[in-house]
Formats: sequence, structure tokens, C-alpha cells
Amino acid sequence: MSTSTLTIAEELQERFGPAVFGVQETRDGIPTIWVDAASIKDIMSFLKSGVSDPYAMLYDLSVIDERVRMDREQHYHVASYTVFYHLVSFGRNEDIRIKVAPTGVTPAVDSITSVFPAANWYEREAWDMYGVRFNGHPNLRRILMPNTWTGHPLRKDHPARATEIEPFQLPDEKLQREQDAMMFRPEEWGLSRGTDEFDYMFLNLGPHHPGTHGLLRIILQLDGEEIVEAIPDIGYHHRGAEKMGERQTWHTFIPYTDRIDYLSGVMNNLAYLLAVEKLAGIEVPPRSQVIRVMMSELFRIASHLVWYGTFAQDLGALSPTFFMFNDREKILGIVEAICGGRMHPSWFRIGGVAHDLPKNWDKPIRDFIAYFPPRIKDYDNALMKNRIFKSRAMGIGAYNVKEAIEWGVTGPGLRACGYDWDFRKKRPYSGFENFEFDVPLAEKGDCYARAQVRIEEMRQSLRIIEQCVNNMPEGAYKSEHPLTTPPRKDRTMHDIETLINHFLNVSWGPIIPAGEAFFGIEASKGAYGYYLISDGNTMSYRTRIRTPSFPHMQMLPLLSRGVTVSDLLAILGSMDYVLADVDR
Amino acid sequence: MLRKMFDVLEGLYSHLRSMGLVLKHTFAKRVTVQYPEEKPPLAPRWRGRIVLTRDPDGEERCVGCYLCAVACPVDCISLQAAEREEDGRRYPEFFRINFSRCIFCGYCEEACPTYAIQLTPDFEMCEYNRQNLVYEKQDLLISGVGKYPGYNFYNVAGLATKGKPKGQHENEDAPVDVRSLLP
Repeated sequence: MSTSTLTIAEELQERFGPAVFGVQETRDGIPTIWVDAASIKDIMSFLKSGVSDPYAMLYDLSVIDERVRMDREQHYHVASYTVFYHLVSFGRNEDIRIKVAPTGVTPAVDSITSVFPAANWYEREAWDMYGVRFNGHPNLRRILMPNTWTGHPLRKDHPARATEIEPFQLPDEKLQREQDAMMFRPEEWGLSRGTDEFDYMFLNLGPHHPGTHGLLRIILQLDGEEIVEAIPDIGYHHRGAEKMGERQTWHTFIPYTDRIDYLSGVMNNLAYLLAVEKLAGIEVPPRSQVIRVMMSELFRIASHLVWYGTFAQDLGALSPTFFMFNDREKILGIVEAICGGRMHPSWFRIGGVAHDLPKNWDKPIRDFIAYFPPRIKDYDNALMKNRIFKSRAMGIGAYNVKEAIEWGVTGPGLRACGYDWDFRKKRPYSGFENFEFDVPLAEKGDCYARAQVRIEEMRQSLRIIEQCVNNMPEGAYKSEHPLTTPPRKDRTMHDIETLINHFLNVSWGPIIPAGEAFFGIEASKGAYGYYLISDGNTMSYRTRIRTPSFPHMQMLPLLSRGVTVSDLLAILGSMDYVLADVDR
Repeated sequence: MLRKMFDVLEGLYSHLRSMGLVLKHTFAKRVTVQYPEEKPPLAPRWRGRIVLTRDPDGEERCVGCYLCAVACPVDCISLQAAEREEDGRRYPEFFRINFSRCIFCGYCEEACPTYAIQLTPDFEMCEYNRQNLVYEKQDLLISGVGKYPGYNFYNVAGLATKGKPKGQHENEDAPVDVRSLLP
């Protein structure tokens, strides 16, 4: 809670006067303050260190293309683009959103990298996607798109589909150009080739390397076996999920969310739908809330099992991968029986879930609750207590709480440094306040600590699932709200009034009232959220996906300087990222 | 010295224990399913190969409303509605699903107002030629009711059909003679 009697908007007003333009009403209740683009850096420094219980973490930063927005006249100082900054204060347990409207032919605003180092990648992404310049940025180059790309994909005038542009062709000179662009020149990445006495070795790890767990390229500057500099090169898994969000209806975007963090299945649906439901003002009935929690926690275990197995594999232990994938298969079997899908169930709906639970649904879950704890104990004995595993993981890739917050680390990575922060506890959503569970913590912040936290989290998730099974409420699995999409099927099939609603909602899509809302959840990898803007249409005007893996990956150079390549793989493994979650 | 020895022994023990726990799995019950000789169990809700079903009277359920095609997030369904000459009943003239695009999300089944389109527990649909993944109506249409026995859209639709005039459907009142209300 805030110790000051002034609200943060009043405090800013008092300090910066005319540079603070006003406060925008949003659906999520996060103070959204429009300020002068010229003083953004001062305001950011003030928020980071000038106020009591400061806003220490840069949670998100991106741009909105305002040009074709239907409800734009209702807002303050709208130019073609709006840059928004989303900060989190842990002391207040509050967020703040700062908006600026850069003007000019090439819109530009001062970079805040000197205040928040984590802004580096976010600003590069904003430049890449929207063509907004950040003055004073140390390395403002494309991050997700290839350097040869023309245009800025998330601008509203950029085509969303290949069929909207000329057919793809690759004449010889273009091929040559692309080939030249792929050439590795260390200078372009800010790396020196060496001195007169010695040369550095450059190692290109990825994009296809089993240790990178996906399409990730890491450029390593090596002095012998020691890493001097590591630069992650991302974007190989970029599919423009945010762009698709602006082309699909609110309803038909749900399957796309599954593919963001593809190990966490329905947990992606949950974050998206909680934001949509906040915009629409839908109350979800208790039964579907509990179903949602149960399925999300099953996926948390499934995701952690994949992490555990691959992490062990990165450290040289091959057998656990098979054991853990087998355990995960048991979870996916439950998911198949309930949702019909495996990795991509796309099973949650606006206002509830797609179907009610099947008959005897609790049997396989109870079996799993009995089956899993002895297995995890075995893994503890076989892995966590093993000497090789310990010496490969302990003291490697450590960071402290201050660094973690500075770089936007959330989730198990933050709790592994001993910082007690879990959104399920601090800002309970979907009925998490009704469950008993502990937030596991570790002290050292190294690879081993991150592993400890995740393993204990699996046990806690199992506790939550058990409570769900034992206390599953009766009642509707879908809300009665008219924007529930689609309405209850049994009624649709028997009365014309529901059928009409059904037709409109699944074809054009539900019309979500105009407004802006962010909703963040505690996903398996960290804080994951959707910032949705509706201009009163059947499609989202702006879908911003805040993923945990993106800032985590940005931190990699900091963790890997001075360690060996094999330690780098341990660090990568312990970070638990998904490349689709990094690139979106 | 003693501590060092203890340390070595403890490390050795941790390795032996890890190896023992892995070795234990040699004698554990097999979990591998010997596919294709042995089929893995599939849940009834499993979303696999899409079929078009018939109503209990053996007629095509699909009325060509296009709702599946517009609900499809990846636009893999295309169809053309037509009307039967003898009774004006709608049916799809062609019905095409491109399974190389389909993501098996089940949105078409959820959207279908007549239970015509359904996803079935079958995943064995690999092809060497991508073009073979484009299924036409004769590949999709089955001669059963699928997952929803008993449902016939024309029994609840309130639409006059052969042998069942207006007012005879489920939960339907007899039609009101509007002229009788006139003064």
C-alpha cells in the first residue's frame, strides 16, 4: 500500500506540472498518465527512485499505432503513435502506465535505457515493429525482423497476410543481398576481433542447436574456453502473434494464444481471456474458475517437467528426460480427456470454458496425484542430490534481487533470489485466493536455486489441483453474460434466441466495449500478460503480449560473461524460456 | 584429510544412488506403446479427423450455413450451399477441408448449429502428397450420427418439413391464425 497520501498522478503533477497532461480512464484501473515526450526520462527516473515505494521494474514498453482507431478523439494528445511504459512497484503492489505521444515524420522519443537497462530490447522491438526512434539508444537496430526487411510490421498500414502483398520472389540479386546480410561481421555486433597479439574466437551457437531449446542464436566471443561476450540473436520464431490479434476476432484469437508459450497450453488462454473479460465486464461462474485453475496448474507441472528433463539433459543426464516426458504424457492424457487437445487445447472461452468436465473426470487426476509425488522424490534423489548435477548448477549464473528487478525478471527466476513475489498470492485472479499453497523460495539465485524453486512449485501445484478435485463447485461452466462466446450449446441447439446470439458471436465475433485493459498472471515462466485495446469492434485494436521469456533472455549476456560454454548451457537450461514466448 | 575422504565417499554414494535409481527403471512396467501394432488409447473428446454426419433419418445434417467456415481461425473450410429441388432442404454442394491448414481446434464443431461437423478420435491421416490432405465431401461424409445420436435439426427448427407441418416440432405451439385476431 502506498504510504503517501497523494496518488501517484497527483505526485507527478506536483513535481512536473505542465509536463503531465492528464490521466486516462482505463478498464484495468492502472493509473494511465499522459506526459510530455520531452520529459519522459526525468519522469522515469523520478518514478524509479524519487517516490516512496518506487516503481522499480520496467514491466513492459511498446507502441500503439493510433491512426485508424475508432475512439481516438476521447484520448489525450493523440498523435499517430503512442509509446507506453508499464512499470511495477512491488512495495505498493501497484502498476503505473505512462503514455507519451511522439511527433514528427519519424516519431522519436528519448531512450530510457540509462534509467532502466531492461528498456534496451523493448525499445529495439518498438523501433523494429513501429519505426519509433529512441534518441540516445546505444544500439537501435532491428531485433525480431531481419535487417533486410522493409517497413515496420505492426504499423496498421503494413499487410498482415502474404496474400495482401506481391508473391514472394527471390531473384539472384536479392538472394545475394540476403546472403551478404547473413555474413557475420563482429563489428556490427559491437565485438572487437582481438588485439595484435591474439584473436578472439567467435562461436555461433544456434539457431539450430539442441542446447538452445529452440530457434535461438547466440553469438559468443570467446577467449579460450571463457566467454567474453554473449549476444542472443532472437526473432527466428517471430510469427507476428500481436499482428494476428488485430486480425482475428476476440474469439478466434484464442487458438493463437496457445502457441505463445507452447508448453503452458491453456495458461495462455487464461491470461488473454482474463483481459478480455475485464474489458467486457464478464463475471466467470465459480465452477469454470476452478476448472480453469485446475487445468492451468496441470500445465504448470507439465511445463516444469519439460524444463526439468531438458535441464538435466543440458547438464549431461539423459535418462531423466525420458522419465519426465513420460510423467508429462500422463498429464497430457488428462488434458486430452478433458479438452480434446494436447499441447494446444484452446479450450477456455470468453466467459468460461468450452465444455463441462466429462464423466469421471476426477479419476485420472486422482491417479496422477497419487502417482506423481514418489516420482518427484526419486528425481530429487537421483538428480538434485547428485554430486555432478550440484557442481554443474551451484554458483552458476547467479544474480541478486536488485539485478533481477532491474532486468525485469519474474516468476521462479525472481523467487530463486529469495524475493517473495507470486502474482497468484499478491494479486489473486480466477479465485486463487481460495486455495492453500505456499510460494517456494530459494536464496542463492543460481541455477540450482532456480531448479529448487520449480521443483517445489510442482508440489504446490499438485496441492492446488487436489483442492480443485475435492472441492469442485457445481453449477454453470459458462457465464450468462451476453458476450459469452459461444453461448451455452444445449440452448443454442433448441432455441432461436440463443442461436442468433451464437451466430453473431462465432461469425463476426463479440463486440467488446471500447477500452483498455491489461491482465497479468503468474504463468509457468513468470509474469505473463495481455494488454488489450478495444475500440468497440469485433477485433482487438491492439494486442500487446507481455511475455516473461523476453526480458529473461535479455539478461543472458550479464549472466554468461566470464563463464565457460558448458556453463552457458546450464544457465540457458535453468532460465526456462520458450522461444515462441520470446519472439511471439 | 578425513573430511576430504568423507566428501569423496559421499560424492561416490550420490552417483551410485543416481545410477541405481535409473537402473530401477529397467525393471519397471513398460510405458511405450508399440505403435502401429498396438494403438494408443484416445479419449472420446480427442479432436482429430473431421467428419460430416447424418441425422437419425439418414439425411445429411449440414444445412450449408457457412458458420464453420467463418468460425475457423485458419480459414481451412470452404463450401457452397445449395437447395434440394424436391423440398427446398439446404445441403452443401461441395464441402472442402484443407487438412494441411487445419489446427484441430474444434471451433467448427462448436459453431455448427446442426451437429453436422464433428471431430473424431483419429489422427492417422498422413499423406506423402500434400494435395491429398484436401478432403472433399465424399471423404468427409459418414453414414452415421457421430457423437450426437438422436439430434435432428429439423425436429426443433420450427421449419415445416415433409410429414411434419408447423407446430408439430419439439416445444412448439400450434401456429396462431393471425387473421382471427382482427376485429
